[in-house]
Amino acid sequence: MSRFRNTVTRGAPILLALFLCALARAQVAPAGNAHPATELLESTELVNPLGDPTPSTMSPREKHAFASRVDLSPWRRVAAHHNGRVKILDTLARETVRAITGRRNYQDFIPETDADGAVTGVEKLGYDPLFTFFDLLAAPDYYYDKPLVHVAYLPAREALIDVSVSDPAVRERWMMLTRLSPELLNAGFRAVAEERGTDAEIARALGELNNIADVLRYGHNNLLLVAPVEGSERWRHVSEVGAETPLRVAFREFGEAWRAGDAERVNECTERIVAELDAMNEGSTSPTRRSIEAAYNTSHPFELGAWMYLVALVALLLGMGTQWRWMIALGVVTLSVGILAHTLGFAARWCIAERLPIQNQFESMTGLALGGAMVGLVLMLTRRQWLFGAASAAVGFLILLAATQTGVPGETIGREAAILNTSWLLKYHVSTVLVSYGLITLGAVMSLFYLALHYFGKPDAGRTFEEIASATAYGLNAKTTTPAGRARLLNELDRAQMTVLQLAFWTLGVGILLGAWWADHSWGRWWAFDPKETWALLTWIVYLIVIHVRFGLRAQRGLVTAWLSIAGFVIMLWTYFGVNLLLPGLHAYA
Amino acid sequence: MSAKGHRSRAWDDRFFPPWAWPLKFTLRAFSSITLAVILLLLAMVYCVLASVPIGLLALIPTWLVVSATVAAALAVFVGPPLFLVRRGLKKAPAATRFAATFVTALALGALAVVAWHYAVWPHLRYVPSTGEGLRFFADFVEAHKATTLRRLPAFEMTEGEFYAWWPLRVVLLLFVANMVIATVRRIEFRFENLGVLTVHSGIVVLTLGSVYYQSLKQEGDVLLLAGPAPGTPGPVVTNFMDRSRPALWASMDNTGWSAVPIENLPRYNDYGQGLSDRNLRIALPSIGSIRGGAPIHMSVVGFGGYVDLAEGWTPVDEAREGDAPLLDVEILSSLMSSDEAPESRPVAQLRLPAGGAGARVANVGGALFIEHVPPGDERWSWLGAKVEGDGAFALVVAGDDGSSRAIAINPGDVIEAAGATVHVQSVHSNPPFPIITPGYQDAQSAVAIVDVTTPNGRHFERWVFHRFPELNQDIHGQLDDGRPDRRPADPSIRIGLLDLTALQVYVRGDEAIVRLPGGVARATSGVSPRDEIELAPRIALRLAARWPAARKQELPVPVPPADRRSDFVGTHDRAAIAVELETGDWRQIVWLPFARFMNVAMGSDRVVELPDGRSLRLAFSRAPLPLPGITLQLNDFEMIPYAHSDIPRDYLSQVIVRDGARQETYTNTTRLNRPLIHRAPFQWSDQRSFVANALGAVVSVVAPNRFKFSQAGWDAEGWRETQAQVEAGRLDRPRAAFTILGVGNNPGIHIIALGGVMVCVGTPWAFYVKPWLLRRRSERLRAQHADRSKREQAPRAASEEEAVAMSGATS
Repeated sequence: MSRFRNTVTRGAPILLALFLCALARAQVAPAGNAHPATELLESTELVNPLGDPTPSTMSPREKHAFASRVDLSPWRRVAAHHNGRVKILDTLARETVRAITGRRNYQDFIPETDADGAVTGVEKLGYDPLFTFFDLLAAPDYYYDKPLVHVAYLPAREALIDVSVSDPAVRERWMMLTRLSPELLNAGFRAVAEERGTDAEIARALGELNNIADVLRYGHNNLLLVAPVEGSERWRHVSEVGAETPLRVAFREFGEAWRAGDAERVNECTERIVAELDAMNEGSTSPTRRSIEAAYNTSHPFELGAWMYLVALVALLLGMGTQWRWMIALGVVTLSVGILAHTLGFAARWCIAERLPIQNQFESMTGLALGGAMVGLVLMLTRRQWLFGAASAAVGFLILLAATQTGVPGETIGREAAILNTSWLLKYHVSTVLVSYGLITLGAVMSLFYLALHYFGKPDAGRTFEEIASATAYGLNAKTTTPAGRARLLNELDRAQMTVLQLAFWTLGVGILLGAWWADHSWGRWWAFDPKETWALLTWIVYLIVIHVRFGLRAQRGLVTAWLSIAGFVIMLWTYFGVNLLLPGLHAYA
Repeated sequence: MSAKGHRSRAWDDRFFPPWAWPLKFTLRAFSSITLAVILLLLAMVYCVLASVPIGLLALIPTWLVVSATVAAALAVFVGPPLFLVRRGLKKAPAATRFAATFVTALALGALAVVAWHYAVWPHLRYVPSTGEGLRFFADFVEAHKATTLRRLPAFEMTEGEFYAWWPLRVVLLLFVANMVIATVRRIEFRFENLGVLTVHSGIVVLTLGSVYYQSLKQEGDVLLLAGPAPGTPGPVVTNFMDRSRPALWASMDNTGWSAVPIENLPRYNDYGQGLSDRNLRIALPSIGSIRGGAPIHMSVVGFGGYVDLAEGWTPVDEAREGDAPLLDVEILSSLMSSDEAPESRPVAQLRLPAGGAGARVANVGGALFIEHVPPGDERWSWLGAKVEGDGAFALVVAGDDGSSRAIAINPGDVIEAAGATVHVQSVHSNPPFPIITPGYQDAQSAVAIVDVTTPNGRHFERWVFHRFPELNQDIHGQLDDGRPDRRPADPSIRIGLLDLTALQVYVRGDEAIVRLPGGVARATSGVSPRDEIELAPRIALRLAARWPAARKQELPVPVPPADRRSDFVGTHDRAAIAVELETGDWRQIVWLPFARFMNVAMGSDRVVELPDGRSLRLAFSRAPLPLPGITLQLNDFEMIPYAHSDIPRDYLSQVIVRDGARQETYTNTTRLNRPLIHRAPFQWSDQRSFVANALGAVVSVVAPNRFKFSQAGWDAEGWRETQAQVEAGRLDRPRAAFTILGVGNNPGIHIIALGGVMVCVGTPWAFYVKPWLLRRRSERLRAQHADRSKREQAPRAASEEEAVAMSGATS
């Protein structure tokens, strides 16, 4: 434990500076216009109810064996107050482990050697986040030389490793792991801060490491597991309950048993603690909501949805190209499963967050993907064309993949900006704009199909691809359709992309005007030339051009429309991501 | 082109005489969709330039090259194998061929991207700290990554000002004209075209509403202070501050503030007064005259966009009390290069006044100290004196007889000099207690504490300062109250201290003394600005410039760009202006920091003593605007947190509103998304004509002059502090010292809303209703055509039957 403390003490000035920066910023931002900052820690002055950690003597294999014997399932649905909301302990553990390791769970790496002692491979031992969460509270020294802390910024990682590692092979191994041990951080932090602390990116990376060091040292502060007593609003920390109460005693014994590697006693203490907490917290939180949250955590609905969409996309494209009906059936089924998983995930998040989940980048991405995919599905069913289904799957896959795999902000469920919380009009504005973005993406995918067919779909020997595709693309009942040529399929694709783009144009226009209505109502100014507003208008203008340019063209209407649709999509991407990340403005929460 | 379009062109050809071809050309151009598209593209380019920093735009070539590498990887990995697969399966069924092609392309495409990520991207990825990787115009990108076009000195505009500038207005005006003319000349006024006509009309209505809105728009904010105690209303407020229009506030002899708007004040770049080579002079209306009648002219002659104001020394033409000589010193070094001689380009530039305590000494890394020595010959001679013996410090002792000795000392030494006996108690590199003498607070200097016995036998303790001999003092025992009896140093025995621990350089005028660590001194005189004074191997010093008189005053220090907060840039929040006051021969420049709200502007105003003895108080803030016939008072404020947390969910400002026109007072609670709305009644004025009044009354109904007061800021710090006191049981409830309400009217918003609704309603009509109507009409026509055909065929059939019957009968 003392070794973790060193990291914290050394980094304290930078942490303080970052804190002051955050404080100063908070004073100037318009009231309620930004999401509350994510607080990894609740406080810094509480006692560890699991008792003081002692040096760990367990080997990785012993640790893993111990982990397999411990039953943590009763803990999962225990309510905990953290970062402004009541969540389940499973969520808290997942968030904590992800914040520290940068991945879903912690892994131990055990070198495999042959008879001569030469390393032949590496065995990976994965742990449940909840186990790692408790292990970091009860026996943190185990991790002192393990690859624990994720250092995302490559130059910072290199600099920290270079301070104390000279062997190129070892250095390479740490670099590949992307996670450094607290030992390496302790050795390198000060030197890197002094030598390269003036580099803003390095300083930011070191600041993040300081936050992680704080979580490692004070993680037990997050054990706000006891519901408020009457007359109080604050959830209580376990250590604030009487020292000799059954709960505290059970916690102490739990910690001792954990450090001793006594799984049976750990399980027995777990049952006592959970029973005590259930009795103390009775009626304070909804068991149904906690169950939904647990299911949401374990099912990963958006990732499941993304992979289902991928299968659907591939199957539908293959099915259209080959006329294999079973492939199309597979595509339709997986698309339906993907949309179902996506919808259930969205609904679960709505229930957990107690608000419409479209309030940050992650949520808005899942929302717009759902909007685009559903519209595509409806068009597929009403127009009886598989192409809409393929486009729908592409939209769902691409956006959900980006949302879940690229670390966009907002995956952790938190409180929304006050300005969003207090306006129904704003919700319509945001959701309408998101639907339009989903439609723009859908239209862009349709346009990509068009361009692919236009440039690569040359007639083939025998039946052309286009003939095959058109036969199946038309719909549910391919027998009633007749084969058509390339021009006819391009014409159909053009009609399809225009259908979607017109809808996108309309919803985007309505969304922008709803935003203007809200801005006039709330701020007394309907248009502020905020970058987000400006770029939303530019996106709308692109589609205005699309619609008008078709009147002036005698030929290649579809081709020009498709290229303009791609251009509009790129501008929409800039409006959606680039403006948020690179241009300061009023849409801080978007 | 529509049939109406063709008819319009035919009309042009028929009625325009040949000589009117320019008019015909213009009319046809404005009837075209091509012009509309060009104008929309121009508007888009303008918006891009307005909102995207030029540094980011300069990144486009880099990203194009990066994208090209991805495309190349895809072409190399996917192209040849795909070709081979298709050749190999030439005779296979089409479905198999397609499946193989598709799967191969998908798999190899993914492989190509992964390979690119691991093999190419690490080499292309740009690392700012090392400069490794690919980035064209890297320096330009770094320097201008937050610089939009409007921030350049040639523009200096806010976002709103840039969008309201004439080029965009012209483009939008032409677009609206284009749209109106094209609508009239190309679109049939038929029921099915109601959608497009509504949309086009809506855009025109929206544009007209925006012009009206913009011409009468008022916007700003107001800070309402809380009362002195809970439950008591705060001060009455009658004005709000304009959102962005800066103003100079002045108060003569504290007789109340008046504000003068400053037009065309820059926002982003520095101007004048040593901050930049770019000059600035914005003449302001005179705010009065000095006694005797001469007017006081005021001008803004300097601007710092993001600065801190700090005390500094600037040269002046005429010296007065408190002024001091000033020297610019440059340090030259080749320690970082392979050259033996110091480089001619200075590694450091220092401005050292001979006045002030800390300012006259520069500490260069603790190894070199440069002091601009104030006028006076005795200390100058001591600083260059030859030291007897070895030690880290030396004392110079001089008596009335003119004799003096410089002797190295150590604690415990006893020196006999100038008839006096000096016993060294202790020597300190820095004062054992912080110096509290005004003007010298916290200044650093070596100090020797010595016991002195004068030739006439008097005995006292003396504190001797190396840098500040004027602070030397004698302590003659204790006073009755126990405090030490401090007195100015006895002039009959003068003692100076030399600090020999580091390289010391003493300069004044064109002279310099260099004293090496240990005590060897070297004096130089007649130094020209180009001469280099060697301090040590590869380190030299240059007396670059000198002025006989300089004055201490507040000066702007630009904040390094990396330390600037982006939300303050361009807002004037961290800006300062230099205001020149002039009357007759008298002239003074004063720097003023920005104060966002004048009712809490303590410390940001500055007082200028006028030549007639009166005082003029000046402040730099925003222009005030009157509240619309009402006054406001903050009665109470509350932050509503989310359950079980301190995270704000809403803010409630309870405001007392006194409506002068309606003679009523009411309390309103403003919260997020629920602003206070005040509808200012139309005021019939005898100064206007009846028609103007009547028109105004009608307009006030169609487009009421409504003001909204929305929650915009609060005293978060005060709330947090008092919340802590509540938790400690010292207060009943947390408090905020102020709230900030955004203020804005929305003239013509109903016209804008009408335009918006027309666009929203017209679009689906054009996209969905019109095709349905056309389809229905076409079906009806088809049905009519079929009926007609049937009717035409029926008599024919009847006659044929008749004929057949007749032929049968005949047969």
